[in-house]
Amino acid sequence: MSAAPAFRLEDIGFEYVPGRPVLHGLDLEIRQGRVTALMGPNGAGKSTLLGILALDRLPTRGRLRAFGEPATDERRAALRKRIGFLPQDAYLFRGSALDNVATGLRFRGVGRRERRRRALECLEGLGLTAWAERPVRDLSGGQRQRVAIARLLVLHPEVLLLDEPFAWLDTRSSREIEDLARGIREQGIQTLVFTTHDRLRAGLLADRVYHLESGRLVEGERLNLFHGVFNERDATFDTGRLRIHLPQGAQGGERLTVEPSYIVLSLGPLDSSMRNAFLGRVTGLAEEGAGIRVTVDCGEIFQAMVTREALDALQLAPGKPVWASFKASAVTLI
Amino acid sequence: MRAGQPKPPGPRGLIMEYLWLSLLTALDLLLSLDREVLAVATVSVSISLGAVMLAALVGVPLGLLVALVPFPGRSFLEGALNALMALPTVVVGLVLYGLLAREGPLGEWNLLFTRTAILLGQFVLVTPLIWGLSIAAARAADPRIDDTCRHLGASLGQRLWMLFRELRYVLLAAVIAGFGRAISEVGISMIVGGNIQGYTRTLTTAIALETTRGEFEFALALGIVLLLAAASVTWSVRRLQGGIR
Repeated sequence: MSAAPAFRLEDIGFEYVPGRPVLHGLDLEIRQGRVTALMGPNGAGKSTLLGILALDRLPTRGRLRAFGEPATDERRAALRKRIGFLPQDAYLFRGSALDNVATGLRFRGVGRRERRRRALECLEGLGLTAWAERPVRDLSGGQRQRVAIARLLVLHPEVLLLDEPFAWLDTRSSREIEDLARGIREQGIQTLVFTTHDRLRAGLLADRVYHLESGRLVEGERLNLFHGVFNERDATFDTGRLRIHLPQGAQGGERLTVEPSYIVLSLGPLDSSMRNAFLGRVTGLAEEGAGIRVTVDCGEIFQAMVTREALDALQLAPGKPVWASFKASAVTLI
Repeated sequence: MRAGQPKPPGPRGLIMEYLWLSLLTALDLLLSLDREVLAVATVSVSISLGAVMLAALVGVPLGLLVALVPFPGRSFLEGALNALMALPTVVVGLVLYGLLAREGPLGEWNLLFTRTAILLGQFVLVTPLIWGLSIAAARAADPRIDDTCRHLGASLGQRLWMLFRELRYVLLAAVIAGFGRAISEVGISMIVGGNIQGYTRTLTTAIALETTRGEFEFALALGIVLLLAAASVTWSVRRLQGGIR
């Protein structure tokens, strides 16, 4: 018989303010011993969802089960002991890194000598031995983040929830956390859930990636997502920086997406039926599968997928002026 | 006025002379280790310290608890504490007098006109202040302190202790404010202490007495001694806590 999932969410909704839901009917399962990434733009509800998984807050709608048990107010304290949660901006208590790492052990009644031994062992694992006795106020942002992670790891929780663990980290600290995620994935003992904006990292580290958008789970991450005002009279969408033409008869919406593979890049304006053409500048290039993702700043940032041949032919490089064109029919209003 | 005669000092000069004389008298009292002044200062400081320590033992944990745990009537309690922070000392003195008087409900305790009575009164005076300021300190604290404790599986007692540890300097300021209120009060000491020389006479009641006698310089000198006593106690407490570097 297979183990119960770490979390099962059925029709989960959450409202901070009554009548204004930030999560809408989420159905998902987080399996034990796996690494799961939650992706999405700012305000998509990633941190709220992570807070629900941490049992920091209970959903205002739907059913949440943690380790096979219903997550109720009465069971919350007991279930929480099996979960380690690292919020975006973790708080470190006054005192040394060692004191901080030992705090959770002290809460669990572990004796002074034993908690020192375990805390030192954990700090060593994250390359912080030299900083163990230092006051945390003397540590860099990356070191502080690693101390906060060590403070969770020393408790050996069944589930680790990390909110934006790579934000503001230097390369070394990021690598430590990546190694940690890889280790968890290889061992398959702990469950790790983390939020990130970084598609590449999510893809590399996670067994499963969920994309959230405006509190809803969506299939894959939507690129070229713009917020703005729909103008029905001339079938356009004004993002505040660009006016994008829509297909005739388009129905209203507050957001718009353009499929990256439908965007054509050229060095000059194209003589074609494409009604949307914007002059911009290449700001980034990244390999993605068999193609290349080109980031173009036209006032709004567009992501276009091109082939290697097209890249060579256009000789695209950061800073180069380029036209981004697409048909009105390539646009989807949400 | 004849030429060559020194000009009498004006009102401003008189005040300066009065202040200067008071300061000299205060220094003389301190440097000569005037036994009576030292005794009065000791009584003042010891009673106020005792009252404040008791009030801190009650007020700080209760303040943190009220801030952390929601319960029905919490906002009413906070409103009441805010009102009690401005409790007039004579009112506390009068109520306590009524309770401790021989015919009063606590008359059997024989506490009227004792140091314990003053200590009790100051405890009643200062507890709402420390309690209320502790609630305010906990409310203004970084919410991540308690969140982190909960995430690490702390019990309520452990959460309270961690909050106390993190806020200790702010809470110490609340206790020092309480000490300032206790040592500077005169109503309670006068009414339930009785201003008995060598026993319940405190610096504030001594000042009141010297003023009624017309010994203004001596009264002001005692005021300076009071100020120095209060300052040295608060400085020592902060020093002990490592708050001053």
